[in-house]
Amino acid sequence: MTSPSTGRHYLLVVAHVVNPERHAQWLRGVLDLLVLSMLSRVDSTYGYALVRDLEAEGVSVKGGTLYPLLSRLEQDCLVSTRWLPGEGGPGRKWFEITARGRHLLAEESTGWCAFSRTVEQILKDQSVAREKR
Amino acid sequence: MNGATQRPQRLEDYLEALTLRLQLLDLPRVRIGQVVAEVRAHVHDSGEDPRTAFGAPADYADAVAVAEADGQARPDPWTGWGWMVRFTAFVAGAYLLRMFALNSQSWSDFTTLPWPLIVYLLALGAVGAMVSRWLIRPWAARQGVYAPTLSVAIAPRALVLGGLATVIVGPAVLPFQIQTFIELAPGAPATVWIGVGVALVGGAIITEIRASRPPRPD
Repeated sequence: MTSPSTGRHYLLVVAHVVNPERHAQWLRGVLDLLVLSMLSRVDSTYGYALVRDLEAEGVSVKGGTLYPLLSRLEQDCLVSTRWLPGEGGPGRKWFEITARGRHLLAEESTGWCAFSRTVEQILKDQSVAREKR
Repeated sequence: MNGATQRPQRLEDYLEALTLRLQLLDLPRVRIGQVVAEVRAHVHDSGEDPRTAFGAPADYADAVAVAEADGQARPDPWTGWGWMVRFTAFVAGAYLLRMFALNSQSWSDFTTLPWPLIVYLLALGAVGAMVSRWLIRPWAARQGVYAPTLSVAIAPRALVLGGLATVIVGPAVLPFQIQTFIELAPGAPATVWIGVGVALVGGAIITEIRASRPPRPD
């Protein structure tokens, strides 16, 4: 969903980072679901709060990646938005997951979990085979 | 210049460069204002340097423009001829239902509200929604509002206005039309025409919902 030009802003904060580019590729395919999942936990939130929430879960995303993604989600009617005045600062755009967003999240999460289980199984099998040799 | 004064200046320089690039990319002025406000709020909240958070202004502007173009490239269910076909099918179906399923009812008798008449009124509401959607498209695009949502909000008002128009104009016009059609209609049983009406109305509603539903993200 994200153009390659913004891919370099991805950085997954995990203990076993080996290749940041590969992690960026993984994240690119699933970041929309992560954002929708974060949004599904709250009534509404704004961009920087989302960045913080994702960071708390171990995923670091830059604003340059997040906001275009949120724009796409809005255009797809997966999130709704409204502008509210900020407290002691500039106005903020607040995001709220829509019913369509929740539906897509539930559907695609199931698909992703099945896919990740398959990948995990294949990689485990490969690891076991290597140990036997 | 110390760090405290450099930071706001860096932000303003960044926003200026971003705005210029977005203008060159032909983004609507309202959307540019929103993008700039997002960056300003994010930098205010995070305390990050805008270049660290968003990358170079030109790169970020390009990313925003790509996201915008993705949205505009999606098929709009209200352009082209598809919606007219659906609308025509809807009205024709509602008309058949009115004629053959409710032939004994008077148009001026609104005390019993039979369901074919309700379908007819819904058709009027759909007309209002479609026309209003067409009319508000340019405004909605400038405001960054998803226009079908607005048209759905307008539909009940259009339905009320259409219903009033039916009460006022219907009794004078429709009896003649109905009589003429019945005389010209092939000799198929009424149930066949009712079936055709249900198929047209149902098909139009289903295809309309499917067409109005935004596609999944890539």
